[in-house]
Amino acid sequence: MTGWTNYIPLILATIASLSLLWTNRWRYNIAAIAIQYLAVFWFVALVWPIGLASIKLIAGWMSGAMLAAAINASERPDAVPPVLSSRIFRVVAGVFVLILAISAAPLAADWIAAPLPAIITSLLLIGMGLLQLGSTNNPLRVIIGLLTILSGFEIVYAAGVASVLVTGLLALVTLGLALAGGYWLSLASPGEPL
Amino acid sequence: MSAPIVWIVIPGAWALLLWLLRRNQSLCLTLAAVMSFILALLSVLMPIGETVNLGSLSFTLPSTLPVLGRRFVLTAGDQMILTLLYGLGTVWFGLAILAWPHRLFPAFGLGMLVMLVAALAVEPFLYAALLVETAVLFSLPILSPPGREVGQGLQRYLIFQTLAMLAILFAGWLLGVAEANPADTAMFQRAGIFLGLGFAFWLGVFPFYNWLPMMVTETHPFPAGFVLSLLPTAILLLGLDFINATGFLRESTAMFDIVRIIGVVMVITAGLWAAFEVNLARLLGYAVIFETGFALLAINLNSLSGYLLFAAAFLPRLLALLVFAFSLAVLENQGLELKLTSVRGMVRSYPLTSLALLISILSLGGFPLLAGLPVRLEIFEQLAATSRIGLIGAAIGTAGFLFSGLHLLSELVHSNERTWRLNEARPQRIVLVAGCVFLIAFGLFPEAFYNSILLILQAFPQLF
Repeated sequence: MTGWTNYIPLILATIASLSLLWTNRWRYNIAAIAIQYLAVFWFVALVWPIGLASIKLIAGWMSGAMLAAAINASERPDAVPPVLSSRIFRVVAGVFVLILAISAAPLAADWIAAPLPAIITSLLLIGMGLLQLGSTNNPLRVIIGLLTILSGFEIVYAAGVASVLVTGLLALVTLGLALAGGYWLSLASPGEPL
Repeated sequence: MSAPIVWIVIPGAWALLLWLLRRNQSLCLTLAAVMSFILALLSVLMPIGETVNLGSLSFTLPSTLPVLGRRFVLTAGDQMILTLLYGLGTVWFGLAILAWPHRLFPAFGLGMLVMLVAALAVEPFLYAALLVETAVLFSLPILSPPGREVGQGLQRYLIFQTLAMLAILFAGWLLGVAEANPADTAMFQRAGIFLGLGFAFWLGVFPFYNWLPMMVTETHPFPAGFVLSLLPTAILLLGLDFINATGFLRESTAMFDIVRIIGVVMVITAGLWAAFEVNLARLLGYAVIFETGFALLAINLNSLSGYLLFAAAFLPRLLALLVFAFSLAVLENQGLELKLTSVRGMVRSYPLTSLALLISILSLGGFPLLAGLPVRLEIFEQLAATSRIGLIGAAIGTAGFLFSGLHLLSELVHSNERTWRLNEARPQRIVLVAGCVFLIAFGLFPEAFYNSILLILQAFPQLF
């Protein structure tokens, strides 16, 4: 998996992260998280054994599943979709983040030994995550933003550190964030959390 | 059996057991307090790495526990830290029965404590970031218990702590790269920048501290006090560990200058904001910022006396925060709004709570004859020799914080009532009076209390 094929996960991650900014329908959001983690898995598998890299995929997908289950259990309907102007603004900001990631990636490549598409994807996800965090005070969106940042970080970090303990702990943190999101959602539901 | 098993694995399993028993709140809190007490006691009595003879039984407690190629190490030098952290757990879990007997507190509180101890024990230290993040995740159910909506402060707390983890992990990696090629000074600088950023997020350093006062108003003051006592204490110790282990940090005058500037700005801003603050819960948040600022000022001295001051400040700070949070919890549990206008004339109806509130705030501000003063005075003296501007800034901040205490006093005594009532429950009265007595005794006989806590520095032998 070298050359142009590495741009496939970059494109997937771009579409997924932009869709997170465009819509707040939870099914699409969870699907976008799943796609993001697929991209993470792709890049991590370039530098790590498949078995170890698959932990990222499993943890990411499990966190998406946990959030989906929590949203279902909380009996919350989809939030009112933001007005069109707000969506356009967010997506335009997302495109700026993409341009920034593409511009900054060659600079970062000087001191991070990873393929250029991996660095672009990483910077893109980190930037998109920060953008999401800066534009919401909804607990679910905050958790999605944090997962986006974390997934971006994991791509570059995998290029430098291949430790089983770190991988396990990062997976634990990913699941922990999803659990926290699920817990926060459950606070507003009629059932009893924990 | 090794030291990490005793102080990390066993209490971790205990926390899990407490979660299973969570329906019985009082039992769980008692069990959490008892476990913390036993662990604190063991850290005093059981030497790590030395042979212990108990009659015919002879054994040695090894300091290391290997896990997946990495190590958790608790040496004899760490024992005072263990005493401090588990002692803290004992007191908070014990008092929770009176202040906030919530079913999630014992399990998640102990879990958080265990994760922070693990963070201090793990080698290489970059793994600590992940364990601190886990501790933060454990703190979330305590800070947002069922029945309370999740506010922005709590969200920002999680955001900043998670960003801190990423920055520290990245710094650790860059540091590894830099150490492999010591000629590449740029890599050391990059590592230093990310390390600084990580600690700034972790500690809620200026300008990343707006979540602190926000978070305290969104939750019950007691769990907020617990988290804000435990987390900065562990992170400051972790910071000292980083400085101890990293040669280029110890020799970097630029870093210590930055630490001083940030410390002064934190003291000034927290002091001034506190002076105009009318919400007592937010005041607790500012108190934490204020204290972190002074801790940074002690670290910036980068000398034996500076580190001694850093260590000595732990006990008065933790005690004052405990008394402050407990007093606020008493008021919150009575359904009183935690605002200055709501406590007007309260000295007549809640005299002991009022007294404890006042003494704790004044102690944090460094009021004469109270626990905070001796360390504060010494820091001022050291600052006078190293940075006059820093001294003036710290004095302005301190004046602001003390003003908030005096403002509180004026509101507390502003009453037309003639009668005095003790509305606190009897056990609460005992705790409040004991807290005040300790804060005064600390101020009057500082050396009697400080000598033992200074042993914390044994864990950082490279510092001096």
